[in-house]
Amino acid sequence: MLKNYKQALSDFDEALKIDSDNVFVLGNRGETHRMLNNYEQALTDLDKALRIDPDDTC
Amino acid sequence: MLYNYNQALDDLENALNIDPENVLALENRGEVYRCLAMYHRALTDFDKSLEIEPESVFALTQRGRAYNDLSISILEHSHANMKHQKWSNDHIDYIRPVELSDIEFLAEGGFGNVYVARWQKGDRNVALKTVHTEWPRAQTLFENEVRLYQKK
Repeated sequence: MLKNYKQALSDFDEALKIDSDNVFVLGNRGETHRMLNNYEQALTDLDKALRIDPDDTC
Repeated sequence: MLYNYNQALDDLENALNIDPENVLALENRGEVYRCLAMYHRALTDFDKSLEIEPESVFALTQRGRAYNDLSISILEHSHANMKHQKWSNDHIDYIRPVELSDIEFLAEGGFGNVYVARWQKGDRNVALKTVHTEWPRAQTLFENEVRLYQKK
């Protein structure tokens, strides 16, 4: 299970290298970090997503 | 809704028969499989589309989501099984999901996925079958199958 989350992270990392302000990807990576109890990194991603799109309720 | 997904799969399959390396069709079929909770098939399509077009943000994102969904679906199935403690009647051994570790995917079928898992307490490997819970008869069929194995 852990392995799947890590593979998800590596895909989201790659996507954000190409499109660093993509709110949808930031939200998904933030959520994955939250699942992995990486709360600091989750907050970094979700904060950034909300800075770009303050109305995103996801 | 399921009906529409199946129609989409038909169209995408036809498209891929004509052009097996069509990235748009591969990405879309991957996403349809993801929506149908057929995560391993989704991963296969996204893997292939990303081989052809490695910088597709869509494919990267949706493959990432498929990996996440896969983890979540295993967790949800474990929780769902917790609620079915009545399986411990009827001489069917009830294994609690927390007793299982090293869950590895084996195969994906029409009824759900099959995994192999380590059952520490019983000191052996067991098959872990998941069923699509939206199908009401699935549990009855599964219980019947278990009873059949017991008779052997």
